[in-house]
Parts: sequence; structure tokens; C-alpha cells
Amino acid sequence: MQLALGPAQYYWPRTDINQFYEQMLSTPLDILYLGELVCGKRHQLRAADWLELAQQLAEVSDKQIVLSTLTLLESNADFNWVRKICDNGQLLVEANDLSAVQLLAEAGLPFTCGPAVNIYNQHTLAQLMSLGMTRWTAPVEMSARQLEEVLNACDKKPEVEVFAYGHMPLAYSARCFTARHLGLDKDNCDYRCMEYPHGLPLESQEGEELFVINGIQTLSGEPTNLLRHYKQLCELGIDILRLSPQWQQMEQIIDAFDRARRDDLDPELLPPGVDGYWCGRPGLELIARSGSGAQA
Amino acid sequence: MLAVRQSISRIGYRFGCKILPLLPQWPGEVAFIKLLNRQLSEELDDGLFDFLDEQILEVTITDLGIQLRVSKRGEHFVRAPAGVPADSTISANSADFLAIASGREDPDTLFFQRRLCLGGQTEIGLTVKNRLDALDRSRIPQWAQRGLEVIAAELATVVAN
Amino acid sequence: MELVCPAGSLPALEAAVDNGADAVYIGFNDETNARNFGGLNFNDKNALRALERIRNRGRKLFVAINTYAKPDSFSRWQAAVDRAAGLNADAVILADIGLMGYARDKHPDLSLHLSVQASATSAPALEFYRQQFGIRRAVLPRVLSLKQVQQLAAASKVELEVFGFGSLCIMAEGRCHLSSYVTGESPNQNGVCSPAKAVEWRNAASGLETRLNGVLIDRFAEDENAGYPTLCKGRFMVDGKRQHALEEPTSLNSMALLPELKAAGIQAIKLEGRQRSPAYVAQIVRTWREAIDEVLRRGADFAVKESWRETLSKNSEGKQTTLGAYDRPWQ
Repeated sequence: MQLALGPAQYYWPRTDINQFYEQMLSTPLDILYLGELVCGKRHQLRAADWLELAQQLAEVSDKQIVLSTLTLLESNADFNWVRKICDNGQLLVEANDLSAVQLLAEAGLPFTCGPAVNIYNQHTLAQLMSLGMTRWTAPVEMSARQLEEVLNACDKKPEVEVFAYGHMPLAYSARCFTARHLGLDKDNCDYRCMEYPHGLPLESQEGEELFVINGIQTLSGEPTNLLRHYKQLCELGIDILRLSPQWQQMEQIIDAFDRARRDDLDPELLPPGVDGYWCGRPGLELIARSGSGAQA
Repeated sequence: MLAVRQSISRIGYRFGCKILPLLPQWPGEVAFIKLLNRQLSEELDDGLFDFLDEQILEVTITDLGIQLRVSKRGEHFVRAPAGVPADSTISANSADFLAIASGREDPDTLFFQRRLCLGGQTEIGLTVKNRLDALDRSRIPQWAQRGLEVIAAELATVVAN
Repeated sequence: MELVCPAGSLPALEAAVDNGADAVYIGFNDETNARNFGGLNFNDKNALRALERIRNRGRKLFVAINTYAKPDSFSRWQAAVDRAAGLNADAVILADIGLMGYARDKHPDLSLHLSVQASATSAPALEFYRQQFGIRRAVLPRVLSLKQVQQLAAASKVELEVFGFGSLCIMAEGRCHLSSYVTGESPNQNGVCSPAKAVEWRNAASGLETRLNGVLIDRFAEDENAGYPTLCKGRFMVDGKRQHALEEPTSLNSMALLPELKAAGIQAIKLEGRQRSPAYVAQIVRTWREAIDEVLRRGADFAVKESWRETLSKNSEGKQTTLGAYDRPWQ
């Protein structure tokens, strides 16, 4: 089992980003995804800066460095950003929408597909593999059973990656909800989402943590945590577990999953989070409350 | 002439609002359920109302104080037993129900405006709405359709005033 | 400009045709379409009747098979495509890449439209679907500003259809899991956002409460208009403030932009609302028919009539409308 650090969702200052990835180099992660996923206006690191950072990391580390593209493209500027990433000429690219898939397939390059590309069945998987997709991160709402069904029905399997820890990306909009909350126009947002390195929590009127607002993106209020399902993930033949970057406790999260692959699984190392989607239930539920190797 | 007709409608409507809530049970309930069974026999045969099996739907016409409690057993709509709470409730005033029945208004529109209320299991209420929307209106005799439209229009102004 | 209208039932289809629809889109009564509600949509018998009425009046019939096929029941989605092809529908509206591959191989003459659920927002994304599956038309997501729609129209090699009116999805369509996060059922896989069985309306001391699988979405005061019980239109707490953090109950209305959309070369206007009654369909189709005819007659001199605006507002969620993402400040 390989461990991957997913692309960062939140907007962090440039120095913090550099420092964060520096720290990640000394962790047992195997793969690092880098790039702006959410908003083409975020400019602490532009496309060229991400490329430069990625290349630097690739030089000094034997971890696999993958470049992620924007999820929701609206303007020509967004598209040009994606083009620069796809044209990088060196590193593997994670396509997060069909524009990137088209560019990469046309160029005859291998690519991976992120969880926002809607691959829900074996036929879609086969179509995209025929165009060069080598790795698939399943949509976050897919269950273990569905994943198994897809893989059982495949003649040829890609590498399979599962979103295993972190706040799950649930939706993308034209509207910036952070700007809306602050009473600002999206065009004059002052990049205020940088003030929320963990996003902006949204609760029900009864205090239930439902979602996290992060610019145009909406994340789950609770992190998904599939550590308790580690054994099942192995049995299903999952190749890679994706851990989503967060500002605090990233090392502990990586360590907890790393221990699991060294036969030292301890679910109590991390907050319980949720695992509803994995178990075929509403995403916000927690099904396997204790013990390891829980079955869906 | 118009004024005379309107005042007759208004008196009739007010009389209904006073008298009907005093009755222990709306006398028309049995007849109405019979009418449903006759008019919807094809849909009943096709199983399109099976979702109401052993479920109680309660329709309340708020201004007239009329309650209609329907269930389904076998291939027929039946009166729901008294004293058992409904699984799903729909309520609105008589003018709004007639506006829906005559095709003047869209139920979702009335719902957004808080004039049509749903309670209990929303799915039953929603499915009833969709099934009724899908009924072939050409099966209703022309005169009855026109009558419904006239009364709906009349009542819309009377209740609004 | 083609006026593409919704129908969840035969009477709704008739209302659309009677009031000036150029094309009507329908779905089968299962999870292969994105309005999978109880009592709605067409079985085979009614689909045939629908086709007959469409052909008698010289209009077009589109069939929406616009959810993502589940791995254990892909054959159900294939069967839906076969049924639509068997009807000789004028087009099927698809989102799933695997299913498009099936339609291309099995029914090469069947015209494919890319559903809004596929969320294609750039020229290369549209080009992907054109090159791979030969799509003729794409329905654009409701996330683009007017300027972005114009740029895309200039670059696109396929016909474009945009939303004119109806309930507003504020998230990129096909990329929203809010419903499944709370209820377990999603537009993508189940064809339903906020499934009715998870919805509860209750009169409480504090007002009308609406809950989704137990989660409080909103409380409405006596005089407030309500909307559909979707998470994106609920009222929540953010930073201690109670607010419509994502969007208010409202509907999209782009009628004022008709001259610009026409000038940009948009080929079709779509009206939302297969879940609504024939009364709604009749009112909004008649209104849009008049507006489109007016724009064809008067071009840039077109102005939205007050009576049109009233009819559309009356039929809207929360009784109000917005230009949505077409208008940059909304974003």
C-alpha cells in the first residue's frame, strides 16, 4: 500500500506552502500531489510557481511528484493555467476535469484522474484508460462495494487510489461562499480565504458541523477516516491511500496510516471522523466505531 | 349581475365555513372515495397507487374544516380507520385545492408560498401530487372540467376577499 | 433559437406542446434520469403516447438519461438508451462517459446531447465529447457568466443549449455530493437531490421546520416563502451568524439576456422543471415562447414585459428570481 498526499484544498501563504512540503519530504509518504485545485484567482503560487516547486521536490526526493489541475474551469485564464500544468513536459498530471483529460490525451501522455472526474463504472473507466489514464481516484461518494464491483468487472485495472483521510471535497460552485460570507464580490474578494487555513465551518442551526466552506468549494464538515477499514482496503486491492493536506497534525495522520501498513494499526491514533460513504451509507455517518478491519 | 353572483358565492362560502366544521365527519367522504375508485380504476389496476397500501393520507381543507382520510386496501381506496394517526398530511384552503384540481395553479408554487402544507412522510404526499398531475384530464367530462374551472376562479376571488 | 421544455407526465408534455415548445425532454421512471421522484416520468406505455403527440404536432422529443450508471446495474442504463433509440427519439441527453460509448457503438444514428450533469465548461472539454462520441449539442452548466458563455460559444464546435428558467443549482452540476453526504442518495447515482423519503416538514413553536435525514435545514417564520428542501438553500450558522450561507430559495431567470444569448449563437434555451405540474409548464412555456418570438422580431430592442416577469416570479422558488452566475456580482 502506498500513501499519497492529495492536493491542498485551502489557500495558504507562499512561505507556509513551501515549508509544508519541505516537512512532507521527511515523512514516509510515497506520492505528493501538488497544485491549485479550487480557485484560479489564488495567486500565492501561480501555475509556474507550482511547476517550479514540483520540479524542486522531484529533484531532491524519490517520492513521486504529481501535478494536479483545477477542478472547475470558468475563464480563459483558468484554462491557460491548466494548459501550463499539462504541458509541463516532465511530471505526471492528475486531471480534475475533462478539459485536462482532453489536453493530456491529445498529447498522448499518461494521466491520473482525481475524485471530481465522474468515473462511476467499469465502462467509463475503460474508456478513459484507452485514452491514457493509468490511475483512478474514485469519487468520494462511492462505497467499498461499488469499488469492488467496478474492479471485478475490469479486464485491465488501473492503479486505484481511495480518499482515505481528510475533509472530503463535496461540491464546486461559480459562487465564492467565503466572499459571500464576508459581504464581498468574488471579483473583489481580497483573497480573504487565506484567513481560513482550515476553511470556514458551517453548522446547522442546532450546532451540527455539516460542511466547511472554502472559497467556491464545499467540503464535508467531518473528515473521512478509513483507517479502521485498512484491512478491507488491502483486500480490495487498493494501491494508494490519499491523505488530504491539513494545516495541523498532518504528520500524525501520515504516521497512523504508515503504522497500519507496518502491521501496527491503532485506530485510536486519529479522531474517528466519518466513514458513511465507504459503508454505502450517508457520508456523514460513522459506521465502524471501534476495532480494526471493520466490514461494510 | 356580476356583483349579485359574487355576493351569492360569498354567502354560500361563509355558510360552508360555519356549518361544515361542526359536522363530526364530512358526509361527502364516502361518496368522494367511491368517485376516486371509479375515476382511477385504470391507475389502480396498473398499481400506480400501490404506494398508499395500508398508508393513511389525510387531506385537510382548512377553511371548511373538512378532513378526508384515505387509505388503500387491495385494489380500492378505502376510508382510513378513525383514531389512527395519518402517515402523510396535506392541507390548504378550498380555493387553493380547487386551483390545483382545475389546473390553474402549480402545487409547488403554492407550497413555496406556504399556501399548501405537507406533513408526515413527504414521499407519499409528493407521489400523490405527481400521480394526480399525470392523470389524463380528457377523461373528465368537458362540462365537469369547465365547471371546476369556473368554481375555482370564483372561489379564488371570494377567499382572497 | 429552440425552446426546450420539461415534462414529467403526459399532461405536462401536452401543456408544453400546446404552449409553444419546440422540443420536450422527458425521462423514464427510474434512476436513469436526474428527476427520479415517485409518481413522475414515463413508463414505456406513456413514452409511446408522448412520442405520438410530439410527432402529431411536429415537435422534437429528447430523452434524458443523465445520471451516472452504477457498476452493478449498467445494463439498466443501456436498456434506457435502447428504449430511447427504439422510440426514435430526436436525441438522448447523456452524462456518463461509459454510456456515451455504448450509445455511439450500438446506435450510431442516435443524436447525443451532453447533459448539464457532465459539467463541461471549456472548449477542450466539449471537444473531448465531440471527438470521442460525436455529441451534437451540449447543455452548459449554470456556473458560467454571460461573458464566459459568449467566449465558449465562439470556440465551440457543437451546438450549445443554456438554461433559461427554473430552479437554480448553484453548484456545478454533476459535481455536488451535498445530498448524498446527508441522505446517502445523490443526483449523480440516484437521480435525486434531497430524496423525499429523507425530507420532513414540521410545524414547531419556532416556525415551520424542514429536516433532511434529521438534519435541520431551515426554520421559516410565518410570513417567509419556502423553497425546495435542498442543502444549498438552507439557513446555517457561519461564524455565529445565521444566514443563507450558500444561496437563498430562488429560481434562475435569464430572460433579460435573450438578445445577448441569441447574438452569441446559442441554439437552444432550456426550461427546468420536470418535477412541476402541467399548470407550471403551461405558464412558463407560454411566457418564454412569447419572449423568444419577440427577440426574433425585435433583436436588441427586446425588453422583458412586466407580465412575463410576474408569471415567472410567481412560479419561482421563494417567489424570487436571479440571473445567477450569468451575472458576475452574483458569484
